[in-house]
Amino acid sequence: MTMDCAAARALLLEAEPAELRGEADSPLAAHLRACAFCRRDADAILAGEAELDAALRALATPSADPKVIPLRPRRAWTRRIGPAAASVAALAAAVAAVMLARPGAAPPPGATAEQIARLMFPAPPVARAADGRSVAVLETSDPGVTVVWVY
Amino acid sequence: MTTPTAGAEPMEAMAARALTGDERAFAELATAVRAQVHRWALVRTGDADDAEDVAQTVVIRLHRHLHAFEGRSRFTTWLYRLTASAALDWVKGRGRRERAHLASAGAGEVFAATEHRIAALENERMVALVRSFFAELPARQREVFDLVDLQGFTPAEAGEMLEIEGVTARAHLFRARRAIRERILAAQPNAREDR
Repeated sequence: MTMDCAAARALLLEAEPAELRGEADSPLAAHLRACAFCRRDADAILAGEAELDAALRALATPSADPKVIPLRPRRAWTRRIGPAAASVAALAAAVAAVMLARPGAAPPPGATAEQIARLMFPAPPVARAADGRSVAVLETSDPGVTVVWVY
Repeated sequence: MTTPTAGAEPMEAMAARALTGDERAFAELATAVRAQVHRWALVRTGDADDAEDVAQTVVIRLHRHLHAFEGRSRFTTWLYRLTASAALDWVKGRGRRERAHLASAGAGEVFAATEHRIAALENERMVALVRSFFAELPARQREVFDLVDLQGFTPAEAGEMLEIEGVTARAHLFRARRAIRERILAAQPNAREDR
């Protein structure tokens, strides 16, 4: 063992992961293969970084997997009223279509917003965009909220 | 680092299919990239709630701008830059005063909106480590460390994604490693007393 523990400790802090695992062909890796004390520190670093990775993965897990349904632009029936009005009209029409398609699904008196939403949107609504525009339908973790994005 | 894949199909191939107008391919691509984009947005913004919003924005922009991907860079690099741009726009939209941590993290308030998610992590050591990661590292160091040491990109690839020189990426990486590893070793019981 040509490297002492003090030198190894200094190198541990910036070493490549392969060196920490003792896999590389370097003085530090050789030291780690021979020194139980420094090996333990290297293992602690590797374990800590794996935990950090797992934590970030957990934090970055979407609250729900949205179903993105981009649809091809269709020929516009609203060309004359302008893009902004067309977006609003298309969205309103999509919502209205869903509501009209389920005339028997009236919510009971005192129903919560979530219950009403479930009656209205048992499945993601299908929306069609006006000419030159696109639409995406995003489900959220809240069953009462479905985002319809016309852009 | 090879390009991340969804199942057996590389994202490049998925993007190529989506570029032909195959809407099903786009939906698959959007699903495949979402977790990765969310992770990048989290590390960049330091806020899990913002990251989710940024990820949704990126999916929309991906649909709108996919035709601009010409294959000159790897799809992952292109997607990272799309995410970085969306994150920047998102933070600007929330106001500099409220979201000043994007460019230079380091304040405890970074976690204000995310604390409930962090508190739900598996164990206390993990919670402390994540807090340290966000509160003590500048955003650029976080990004490079996450890309290279946790996700397996090379420093050169990380530099390309972040639009910085490879040598600069390595400098950020070493600083981040030192800070994180010192924190990890300090949390080890009797780590230094034995020698």
